[in-house]
Amino acid sequence: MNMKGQVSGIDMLFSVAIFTTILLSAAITWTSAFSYSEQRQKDSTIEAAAFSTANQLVSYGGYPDDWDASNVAVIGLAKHPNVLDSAKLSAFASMNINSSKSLLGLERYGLHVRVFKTDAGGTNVSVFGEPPDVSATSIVVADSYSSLNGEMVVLRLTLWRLP
Amino acid sequence: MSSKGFVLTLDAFFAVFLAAAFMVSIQFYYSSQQPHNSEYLSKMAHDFLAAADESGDLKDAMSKPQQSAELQNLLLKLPSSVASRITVTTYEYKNGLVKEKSTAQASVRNLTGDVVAAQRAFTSPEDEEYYLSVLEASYA
Repeated sequence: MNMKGQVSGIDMLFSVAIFTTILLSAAITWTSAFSYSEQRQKDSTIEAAAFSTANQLVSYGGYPDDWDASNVAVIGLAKHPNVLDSAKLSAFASMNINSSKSLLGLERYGLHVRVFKTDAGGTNVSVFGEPPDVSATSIVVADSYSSLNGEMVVLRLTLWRLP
Repeated sequence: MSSKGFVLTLDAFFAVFLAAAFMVSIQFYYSSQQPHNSEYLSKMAHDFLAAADESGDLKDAMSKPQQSAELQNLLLKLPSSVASRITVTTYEYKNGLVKEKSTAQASVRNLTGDVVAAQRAFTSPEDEEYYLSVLEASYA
């Protein structure tokens, strides 16, 4: 029997085992990093949508200036930045959820907007839409502080991915 | 002992070590990614100061004798996940000069990690005072 050939065979098996282990570990690491990165990308898209919409609502007055539910082209709830207009808030609350989402460019998401006082109980001032149910995924909450009738309030916009 | 075999074994160990270090560093990088973003916190700080000014809460706090306690009550309106410190400097206008009069400070929870800051000036025309508020915030 040729001993030189036997030793080479064991070496070969050993190196194949190490190579396979490294290859599998690299594949698992790559897959997990890629799926994490993909999820973060999706989450950052919905986060950006939530934060920019909350900012739009509390910073701008919308169009036309004195818009109501029948003639609104751009939704904005502010008299001036960080000061909410109660008439526009009421008009927004009376709007159909689908047309509001369409005007805000949020057709792909579920939307819930709640304006509440900063008192201990968080008294509701205005609520728009239904909160997310248990099947909702990628839920993002964006809070924006504003003043309404001389009182500090929080506009909380909740956005989530529809199934 | 074959010195050629020994050198190759060292090479192999070195390669395995490098591959393992690379994979561990990828895992570490992704697992240490912060879900919070300081841009949002900065926006929240600016919004908070603007809303506190527009609602009159800041002027109200500065008009009371216990300014720091009033400012602390104001900071408690921020979410419990946020640590914050507010500093309000009062300036007065006298004989054509603006000079610093006093400073009030309050904080809620300890600032840690990345700290963002927002500032806003407001006035009190009736007593010729001018205020500069600075709000620092971080995730608690």
